[in-house]
Amino acid sequence: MFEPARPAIVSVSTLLLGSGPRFARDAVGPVLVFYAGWKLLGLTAAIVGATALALGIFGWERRQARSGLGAALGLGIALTQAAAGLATGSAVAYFLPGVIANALYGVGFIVSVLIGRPLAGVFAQETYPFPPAVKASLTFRRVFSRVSLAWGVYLLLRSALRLVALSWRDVDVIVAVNVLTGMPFTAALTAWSIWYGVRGFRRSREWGWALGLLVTLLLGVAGPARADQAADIVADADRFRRPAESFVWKISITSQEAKKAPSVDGFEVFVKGAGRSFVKFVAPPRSVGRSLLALGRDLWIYLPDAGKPVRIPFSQRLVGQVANGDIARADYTGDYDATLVVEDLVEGVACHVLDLKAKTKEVTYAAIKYWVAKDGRRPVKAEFYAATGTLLKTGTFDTFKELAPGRVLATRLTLVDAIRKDKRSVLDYGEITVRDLPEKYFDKNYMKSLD
Amino acid sequence: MRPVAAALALCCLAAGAAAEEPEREVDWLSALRVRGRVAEEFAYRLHDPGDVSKLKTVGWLESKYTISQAASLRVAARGWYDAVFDATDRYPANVVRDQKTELMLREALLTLSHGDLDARLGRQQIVWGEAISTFVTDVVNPKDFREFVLPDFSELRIPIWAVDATYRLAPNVTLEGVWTPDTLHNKLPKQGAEFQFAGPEFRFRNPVVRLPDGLDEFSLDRSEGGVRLSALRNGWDASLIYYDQADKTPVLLQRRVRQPAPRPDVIVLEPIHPRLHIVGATLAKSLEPVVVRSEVAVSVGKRYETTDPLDRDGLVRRDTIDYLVGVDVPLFWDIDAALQLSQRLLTGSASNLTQPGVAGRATTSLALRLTTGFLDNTLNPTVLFVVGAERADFRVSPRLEWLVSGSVTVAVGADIFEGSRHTLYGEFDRNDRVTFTTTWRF
Repeated sequence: MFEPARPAIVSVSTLLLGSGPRFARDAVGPVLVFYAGWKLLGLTAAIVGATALALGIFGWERRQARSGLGAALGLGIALTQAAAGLATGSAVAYFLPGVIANALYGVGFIVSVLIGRPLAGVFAQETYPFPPAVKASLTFRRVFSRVSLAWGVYLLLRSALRLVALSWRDVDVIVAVNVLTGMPFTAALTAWSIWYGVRGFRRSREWGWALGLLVTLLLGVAGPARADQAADIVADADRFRRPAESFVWKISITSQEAKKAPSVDGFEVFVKGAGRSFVKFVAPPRSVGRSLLALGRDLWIYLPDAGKPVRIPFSQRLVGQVANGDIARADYTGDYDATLVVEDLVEGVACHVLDLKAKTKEVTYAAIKYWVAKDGRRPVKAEFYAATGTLLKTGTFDTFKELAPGRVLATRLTLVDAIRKDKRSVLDYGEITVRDLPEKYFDKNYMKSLD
Repeated sequence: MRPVAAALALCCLAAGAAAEEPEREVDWLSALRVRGRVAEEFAYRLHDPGDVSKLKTVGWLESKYTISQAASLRVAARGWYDAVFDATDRYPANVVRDQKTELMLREALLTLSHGDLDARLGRQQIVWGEAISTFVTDVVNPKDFREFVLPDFSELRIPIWAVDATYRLAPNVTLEGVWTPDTLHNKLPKQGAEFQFAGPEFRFRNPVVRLPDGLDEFSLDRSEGGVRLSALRNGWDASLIYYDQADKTPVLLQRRVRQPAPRPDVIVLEPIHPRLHIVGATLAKSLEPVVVRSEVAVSVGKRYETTDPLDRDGLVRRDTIDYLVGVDVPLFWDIDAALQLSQRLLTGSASNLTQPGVAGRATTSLALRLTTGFLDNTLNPTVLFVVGAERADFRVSPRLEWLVSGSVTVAVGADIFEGSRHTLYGEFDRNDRVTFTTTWRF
């Protein structure tokens, strides 16, 4: 049912999430391993550990069929460092080749701009496979020349700082300067480079139209009518799960398991627009005072014991079979790309069956198989899948009532564990108040005030 | 009393703010919320001698009255009685006086809203930072270390009378300003207490007089304050902070006072709280299912006690950088792991500095918390392991919490410390304990 994922869409976030962690890993991973090894086991073990990690990263990159340019350079430096460190028996000497290589990178970036072959373009091809015509274009050269200049200046400045740190001959300071001037700036500069690169191409007369076309193609232009229909069906079904643009909804969750007394949790859910919801825990007493805030694909929990909002993932379990996202998000249209695949009968109801694929990793489920009634397009049933393709749980929507004027809503969602069928959670949607909620309700700094 | 007068004045302001927004009919009873909890905390010390070290009954009562959509009033109080001080005679009288009973106003807070501006006035906790179980940028409230760092952080923070105003500059961009004349210091255990900290090891030949710490009091001259700018952009949650405060932990200033011959000079040790300028930043991001967080704070003006006999006042300035990098990641079998690396860096030599929490020019700490849930999350084991990398001192705190019902929880646990005597955790090597806590919430 679930075919391999489509090629990535060209956006800053997909590029950043695809390559950002790799950049960070290459930049500071071996340093941190060295430091931990040096602290706990001594210099030789530290050098062996860091070198082994660099080797592992390089091997992994090759297995992923990427050129592994960053990792290969990292490996080259790691081997030189290992030789220097082992030959001199000095942790300070171990770091020197890295500083020199850093300065050489900086010079290389600047020289590459001067000779018209910007080095950032070479690294960019690690992140996105540019066609030859794009690589030969003026836009490519202009955009990546500026990016190369920024990296060149950063690397030279960083090398200077690391040299100063080396002169102190204190490994703690050397590592601290290495990490502090490395990961945060590398992450920020990577983010900026990707954002600037994507923007540069989108705005260019030369390639902007082509990028737009590419995005359209990747989004499935081959079957536009069918994709539109699928999206319409999901949007219509979403309306049975949202009474208005801005409202407050009381929800109780009854968690059941064979041979055990059911437990009941109560929530008050404040929703405004697509993707913004604030969930207040109102029962039982041990949970009172907690709250969740979902802004788009970002989620915070407020715990009275911590006294502040804390970031958490959507997929984390809230209670029973219910994930945070089951309560905080009711927007399949915004979170998933839909494909209409087949038709089916569910307890005598003729249904469209849709494959929903997560637009990003930040949503609760990687995929959903969704049954929507052909007549009236109300949601009937859903199967929720993990990224591995494993079925996690099944949900059925029922007890449709007119809770808001002119809006018929599904007031019960029953979630059943895919493996242990006796484990189920029933979400009952109760009293609704439709009103325009203040913007500040959806600010994490205001969570405590709403307790 | 000034705080009470201020609170009354603020109530009048609340009436004004209440008039800003159209009201829905709310009867006073439904606008009032009262809740609380009672806990019985038992601890048994395992060594030298093995004995009960805590038999504490703690009660919390809190109430919120929603005056209008634009104004609300909260009051919370906490009281305890620790029967261990009547059941044993192991603790000196000053510790008994300090820890046997307490009744504290934990919150007396008026919240006012007007458009994008929110103000919280009164006694409160103001919590900054992204990471949990750490104080890197959690700098506003003083802390109560009478039970080391073992209680929940909301219990460790000492509330202060303050004005905390927040203004939304743009969607997801907020500027917060804090000001307080309530210059409380950290509360440290008295000599002879269960978790008494080791003091600096001075070796004076002369007689020594140690002055008491200055009384905590309201002071406009010594008032403290700062700002925080926080923003959320593409899922990156970032903030910048600046806070101006007196160091919450005293350091001992040495003075030599001449005496008439032939009596030797007297060394006077005076606890002082040097002014600190704290500049910091926080960053957090969810990369489903992993969450990464980072905090950094630079304390300018930080001073440490030194045992260097050539130092005239016994104090040296070492501006200090504290930072942490943490990652929360789900593991196999529904185990949630939180790994946190933190480091304190001194801008200068650490020789002759005596604090157990300072291992050298760099002090590195690694913390790992593992949590999972069984029986539909009604049985929740957690283990926290924190190790000081330089001197291998560590703390292990396993805990098993059972949610007996919606109102009652029972927890058993232990706090094990290991390390040499002059380390942060090693100084409590003899204080290993097992704990048993029941909590009833209403």
